[in-house]
Amino acid sequence: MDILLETALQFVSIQVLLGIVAGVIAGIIGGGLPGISPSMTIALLLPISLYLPTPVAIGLMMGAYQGAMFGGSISAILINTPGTASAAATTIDGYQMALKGQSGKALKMALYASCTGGVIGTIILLAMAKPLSTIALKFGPPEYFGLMLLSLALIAGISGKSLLKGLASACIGLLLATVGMDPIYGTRRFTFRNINLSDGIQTLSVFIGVFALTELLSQLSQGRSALYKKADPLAVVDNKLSFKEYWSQRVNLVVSSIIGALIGVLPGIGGSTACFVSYAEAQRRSKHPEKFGTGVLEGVAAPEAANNAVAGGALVPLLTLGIPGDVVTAILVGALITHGIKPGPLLFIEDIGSVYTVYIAMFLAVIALLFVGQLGIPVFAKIVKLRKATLLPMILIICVVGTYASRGNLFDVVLMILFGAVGFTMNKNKFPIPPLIIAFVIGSQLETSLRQSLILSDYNISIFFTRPISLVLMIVSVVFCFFMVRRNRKLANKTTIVINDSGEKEEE
Amino acid sequence: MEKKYADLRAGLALLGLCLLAYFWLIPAQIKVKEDVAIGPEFFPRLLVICCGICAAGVAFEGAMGLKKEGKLKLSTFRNPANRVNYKSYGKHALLLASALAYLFVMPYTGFVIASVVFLTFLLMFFGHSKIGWCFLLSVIYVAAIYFIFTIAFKISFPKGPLGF
Amino acid sequence: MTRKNLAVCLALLALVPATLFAAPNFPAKPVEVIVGFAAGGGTHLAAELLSPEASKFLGQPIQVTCKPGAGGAIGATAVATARADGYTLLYATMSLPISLYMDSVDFSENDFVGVALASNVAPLMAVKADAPFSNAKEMKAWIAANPGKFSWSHPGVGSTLHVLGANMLFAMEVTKQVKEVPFKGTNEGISAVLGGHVTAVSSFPASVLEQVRAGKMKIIGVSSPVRIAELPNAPTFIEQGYNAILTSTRGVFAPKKTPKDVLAALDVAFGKIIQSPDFQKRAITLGEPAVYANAAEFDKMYREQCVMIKALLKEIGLTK
Repeated sequence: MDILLETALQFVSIQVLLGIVAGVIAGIIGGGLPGISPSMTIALLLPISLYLPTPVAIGLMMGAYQGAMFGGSISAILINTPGTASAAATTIDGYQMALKGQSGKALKMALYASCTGGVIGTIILLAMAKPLSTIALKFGPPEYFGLMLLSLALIAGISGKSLLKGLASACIGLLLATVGMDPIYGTRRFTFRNINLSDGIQTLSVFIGVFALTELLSQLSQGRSALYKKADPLAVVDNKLSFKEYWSQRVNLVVSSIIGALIGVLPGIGGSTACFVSYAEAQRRSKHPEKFGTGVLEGVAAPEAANNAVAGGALVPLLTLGIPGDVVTAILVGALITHGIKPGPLLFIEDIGSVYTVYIAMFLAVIALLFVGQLGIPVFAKIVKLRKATLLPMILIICVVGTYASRGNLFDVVLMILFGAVGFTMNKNKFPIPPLIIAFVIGSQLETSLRQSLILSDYNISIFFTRPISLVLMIVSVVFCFFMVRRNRKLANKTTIVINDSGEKEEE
Repeated sequence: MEKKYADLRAGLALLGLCLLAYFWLIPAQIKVKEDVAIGPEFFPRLLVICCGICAAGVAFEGAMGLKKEGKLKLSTFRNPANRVNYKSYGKHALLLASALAYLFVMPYTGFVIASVVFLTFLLMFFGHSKIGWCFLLSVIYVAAIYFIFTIAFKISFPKGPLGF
Repeated sequence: MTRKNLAVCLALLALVPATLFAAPNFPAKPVEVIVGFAAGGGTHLAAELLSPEASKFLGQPIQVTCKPGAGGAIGATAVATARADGYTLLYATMSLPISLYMDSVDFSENDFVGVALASNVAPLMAVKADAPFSNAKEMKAWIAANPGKFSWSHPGVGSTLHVLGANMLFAMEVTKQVKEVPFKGTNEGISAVLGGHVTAVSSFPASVLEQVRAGKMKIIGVSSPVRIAELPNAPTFIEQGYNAILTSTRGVFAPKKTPKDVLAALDVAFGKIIQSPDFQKRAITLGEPAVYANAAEFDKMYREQCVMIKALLKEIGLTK
């Protein structure tokens, strides 16, 4: 108890609080700029943190982590470009809300959801670190496969009206994930003898191409005069978020945060998976699932809560075992070591003060995020006031720069452009894009876990059914799949009147 | 009707791609490992088959829908109004081509020069008419991006003859 | 003026352009060091250790750029094709010779020349603390008694730990009796071992230090000529009778055509940087041992490694 008080007192200093706020601001900017990932932002802060006292350094990093997880949603909502891979799901409904004039509402929901997720993630970290890490260790290749299968099953729900098209999209996504080196044998697959494809297609090339560039191409159809029109001031319909609206999301926020934290606990899986799983799960639970994708609050609240909760979850294996739970915490390890904190199984016993430092830093980071975000939102929201003719070209340049920034490779940008064309073609033919994205994200882990499991079991499939956790995951996947397909059928049978491309009313 | 026809067309096109992938792309790109049960070609083949089945399903649904409307006839396929109007996508193709040209040129002229030129072109392309204004805005914007990314985020862009 | 004087004047004039074109005090601008691995990873952090002293000893700051991909090959290609003026260098690990022979790459061994050795890490084989064997001999006996049950993890085909791990098992002559399970990184492999899903992991000391200290994992053997400082109680393979002494080197390379005087300047500068007490102090906190070899020695090491790796990969069956 004394150690806790002692550690807490360390945080009652202007320097520490400023460090946390600075971290949050850096994180929001890094997260908001497409191409600058949260791990990059923290990697950049690392050298600076070396010269700072420990509480300030940790505060800086935690602030950046939480800030980046929120920051990604800013560009996702305003310019249909996920600022971080974890904001990909936010893009789906967030941008639609912005198109309806509700950008401020979406941003506020993203902020509050992020803070709620951060708090719940930290609480889970505090309360259940040890038991969670024990369970996490029980997750071997068969369990990871079961989890990925469950994520795939949820795709059935986000396929929209046509399940077949959704499945086809998912297959394409999984195929894209196979590009690169075979995970078990190292054989090159689909690399066309191009060394840039050896590690596969970069996530950002797909995300930015399929979201931002596709949207850009779609907007082009409107014609130069339409794009040159000044942004309609009356177009900003609804920028407030009432407490009632926030409160209506409470179940969604809690469930999504828990999903995010739990996914964060598992080493190797992080924000990009969590945001989709929580999004799909929110849709499954929703009373009006068909509205997802048109701009609903749940579609923004769920992924944003999840991706901030991932931070808390990812710290569980880090603090209890010394094993980072995701890419960002992996960089944190380096930072902690240089400050004399040795993450490992003995940390709780030998250096509980450092553990408390991390907990408190996380809490304060979330609070700082709330304040900084509030101040920043009116500023960000001004972007929508630009004419499309000005905004869209600037977005394209940012997309190019962002895609280039992650690997310093122009080839990734070429692929991004290619995926813009692919996304545009898919849109025109009404093939849903979210299944492709989620399949692409989990594809490599899905195949790797499957084949690792088969190697371990000497190609005996029963390994998936004889291990308890794996068996449960398999059963839940099948059950989910069944219910979602059934609901999908019901939806597909409802006919709706739609205005098609040539302006005539048509039944769909 | 158009939707059903589009589905049929899209389904068949995708099916064609899957067949191409299975019989040509996969053997060309993946060296099969002989002595193992599940080699590198297993997953891609499986996925292509699944995708092909879904594509066939989509095409089938489209065809059935057309049949219900009594439109599953040769005249529907011959009707020029049902063809894809490739000309209407000229702008999109131009945009993509110009972006690729921009990327091709960048290693030779450097990021800044290529971007300023490209952005000026884009601004005009998307609806602006005053080239001087576009150029000025490009310079300011590209400079801002350049400094933010090189100084704050330490990204190094391709450098041209002028050193930036 | 006389003809002789004219000749002398012309000769002197001819020297002027020669001095103008000679490298005008190298370095005149920041030097870029390319790392072929992801930002924030072990190799990147090791390269960043060089930055703080750079301005002092080299005269210009070092800019570390990460160009990840293909096990370091993308970064290596970038340096191999860059202008050989000394302003673009490569920070590479043993993955460089490995990628030459295990991979189809666009550069050859002779595209690089060694500048300085910065680090030398010894790989080891670690298992869970409650494993039914505690050293190499017992492990070999257990494998023979329990065919098909032993599995080991490494961070990916073609990685240094894959090759070095395979080398350890080859030295123990158990290659055909074990199952190899690649994971996406060492950390996932370590959790798999802790969770009991995989028997052993091929890792560098830094990743398992804390687990060993906490008594959750134990070391079967270290691949190194002598015991390592961080784990004085861990036996080496060679002292247990198995010939696995290969360690993983990390260092700076320059493109082959770099002018001799530029190389000399880099040699001296990096020598000072790496041997400075500040660098050594920082290296130790990151778990990196303090070693150094100058350009001539490191280049020789590199050539020897290339020959050795080529033969080794064939011998342990990773290449034909």
